Amino acid sequence: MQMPEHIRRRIIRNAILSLFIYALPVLLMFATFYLTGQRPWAKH
Amino acid sequence: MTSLIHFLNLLTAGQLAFFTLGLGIIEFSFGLYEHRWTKNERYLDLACFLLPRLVLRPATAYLIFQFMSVFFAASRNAFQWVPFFWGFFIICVADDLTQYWYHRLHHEIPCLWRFHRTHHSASYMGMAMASRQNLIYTFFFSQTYVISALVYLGLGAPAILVGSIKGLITTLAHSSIPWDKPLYKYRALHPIAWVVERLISTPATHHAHHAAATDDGIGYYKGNFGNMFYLWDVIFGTALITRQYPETYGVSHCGGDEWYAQLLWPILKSSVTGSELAAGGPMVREDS
Repeated sequence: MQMPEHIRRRIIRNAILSLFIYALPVLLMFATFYLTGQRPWAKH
Repeated sequence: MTSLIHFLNLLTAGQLAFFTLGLGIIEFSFGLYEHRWTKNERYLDLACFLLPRLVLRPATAYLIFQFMSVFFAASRNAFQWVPFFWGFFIICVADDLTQYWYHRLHHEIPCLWRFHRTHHSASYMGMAMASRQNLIYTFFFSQTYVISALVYLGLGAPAILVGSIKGLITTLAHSSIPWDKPLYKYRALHPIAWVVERLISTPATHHAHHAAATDDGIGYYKGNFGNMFYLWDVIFGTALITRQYPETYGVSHCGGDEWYAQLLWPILKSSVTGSELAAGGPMVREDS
């Protein structure tokens, strides 16, 4: 049994969007550090 | 510090297990299983509740920790500097989005369906079936790997908080007690309902995912994959919100497969002719 073509295309499209969502909190964190001048890694 | 995190992790998992047991007793007392919890179902549900908690998850977490200690020795606590709030936010996304995909792919890739079928074979909702999974599905469960790796990397505290909140939300979404019903009933609560049902999994949306029928406008096993966050379904177009609960649950052709076959397929096979879990059975059998 094969996966329907529209499902396959939706998986690929959503997976690409997921990469952006995975990165979003990390990017927001570093953007906050940049704007506030914080360098928490330097304390450890 | 790492030992303390592991202790807290075990404590949280223990509390969640007791919460599940307590809620299950309440459901059972109110007769919410309606005599559908047969001997075969009981054996399967109890094995799926106990084996992952007592054996599989602790053993997998231990092995991951040993693996990381050998191959990533220098990375131990490497991200301990990440502030708690950001750690919490990062893990919420990393863990739950990964589980959304793990779950969705088991529905959308035909060769994976039989590893997840056990979770859908129950004709009832509630605590009894909330942990019900094939052991191979449980073994590769993304959350165990993500949380274990994050504890090793120094993000143990936020990982435990995310795990606790997620456990609570997913447990309550499977419950046969429709705690979200008042949100839809009272007009004044509708704005809250609008936010809640789009943000997290609720009994209405998750029960729809477990429905036996798909042609009644309520059941939707081809979507509503979200575990903690329902938001992923909204973003990816796999959501169906109706604010109603299905009449029947399960998959119509899932009947009579022995509990051990459902637990350990493909190692053990079902004796039911034509079953997806039988030797030579179809990869996906269309619902009758």
